[in-house]
Amino acid sequence: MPTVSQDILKQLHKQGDHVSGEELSRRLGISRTAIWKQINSLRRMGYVIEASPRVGYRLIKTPEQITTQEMNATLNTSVIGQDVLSLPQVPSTNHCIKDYIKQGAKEGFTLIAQEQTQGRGRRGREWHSQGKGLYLSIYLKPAIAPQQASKLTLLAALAVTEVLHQQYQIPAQIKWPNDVLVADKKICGILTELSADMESVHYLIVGIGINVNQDPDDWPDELRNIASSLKSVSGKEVDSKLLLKRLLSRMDQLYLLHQGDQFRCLITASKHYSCIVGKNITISTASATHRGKAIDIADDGSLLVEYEDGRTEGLWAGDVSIRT
Amino acid sequence: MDFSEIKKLIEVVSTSDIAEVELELESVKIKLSKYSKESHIVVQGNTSQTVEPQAVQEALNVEMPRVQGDVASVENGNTIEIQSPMVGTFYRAPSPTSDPFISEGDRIKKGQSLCIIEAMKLMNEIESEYQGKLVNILVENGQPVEYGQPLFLLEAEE
Repeated sequence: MPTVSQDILKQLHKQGDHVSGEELSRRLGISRTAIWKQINSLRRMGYVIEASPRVGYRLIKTPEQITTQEMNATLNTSVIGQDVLSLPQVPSTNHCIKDYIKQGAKEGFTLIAQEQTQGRGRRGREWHSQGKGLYLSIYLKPAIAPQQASKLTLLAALAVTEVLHQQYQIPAQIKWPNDVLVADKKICGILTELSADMESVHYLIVGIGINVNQDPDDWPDELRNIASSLKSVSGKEVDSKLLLKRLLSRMDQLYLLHQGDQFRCLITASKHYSCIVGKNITISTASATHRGKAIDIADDGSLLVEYEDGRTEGLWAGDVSIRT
Repeated sequence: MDFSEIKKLIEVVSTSDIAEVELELESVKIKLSKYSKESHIVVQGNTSQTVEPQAVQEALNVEMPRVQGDVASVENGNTIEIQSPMVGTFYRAPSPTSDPFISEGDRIKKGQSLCIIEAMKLMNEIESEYQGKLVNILVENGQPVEYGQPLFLLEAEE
């Protein structure tokens, strides 16, 4: 995508009002004819740009679809989302982003898809992603030991939950460590993948799937009782683009906090939004099932569980479900 | 020069006929000696910005065999033990319905995926840093593993 059209978009966003072709040409150092050509190409992509004699161009409407150039032009983050690529359809964003990482993508690179044909969750479980949702993967390269990397899953879950609370007044809760629920139904799932050796992280991919504008009829029978969407819980359509911008901005802020050794604050916030701390839970692993009570989230991010035999331990693995 | 390059150098030297190497770059000086009684590596000077000086010192201030694999320690010549980089659950396949990444007796290529270690729903796909034949899988599928626990035995090839 030509960066010139991105620059023009940036200028139009910044201005918020009319800006003349002459002014644009001066600011960007290209001819007025070139500006005019780029404006037309933006129009073909779905941007509605008004052109009035003498006063110049004004951005009226951006396309519904998330476009790479708009995200790149309007996001104001320091790491996450510095470079964004939006594609109509991919098998899985977590899978595809690996190719971009191998080709030298910079930390913070974010891949977004309108639709995933092979969206998946943990251990190969399917993640329903036939449009109407927000599907993205973020490439991170934190300077931490691999053992610490699972904190980034908590960070992503916290970012989603905070945005839903603060910007949409949606009472989201975190089901430790990687799901966000509203009224006990899943709204968002996070799948973090890591490539690391004993000492360092080669790359880390945070995959986030959010159910945005699905209607109850969109879900297959087996998901209807366990999944919901932001539209269903808030009663109105949610602008995916705006949600994405808000999410990436919050992720970016939290990521900087995390790097600044403020992880304890993030744990405190995660606890605040947790739907399992204080609850009786069942923990299932491949080999056994245990019962206990979730009592806290430890500083390392693990779930502190008091088991029925009285011992208290940090939990790192296994499926947690709430006993009612 | 970063740690992986130092490691590569060690690998190249150890599989060659070269007995001793001394290398001096602007930021690092390395001396590798293979056939002396006690193999040793010396790193001097300011290491370059890309490397944590302490990390390199720590990693290299040990006997040579340990340095040869940061995920593995070497036993009995060319049999390599691959260890878990984190606490978690060990999985042999990408999903419960798919085939295992590898089986005993398989030829393993460098960079090939060996297993997944899961901790707090984070999936760490462990890749082989060596080429060779998989001799033994030391952990059962779905079993919890500790940091540094041996997972595989690999017979390395040159």
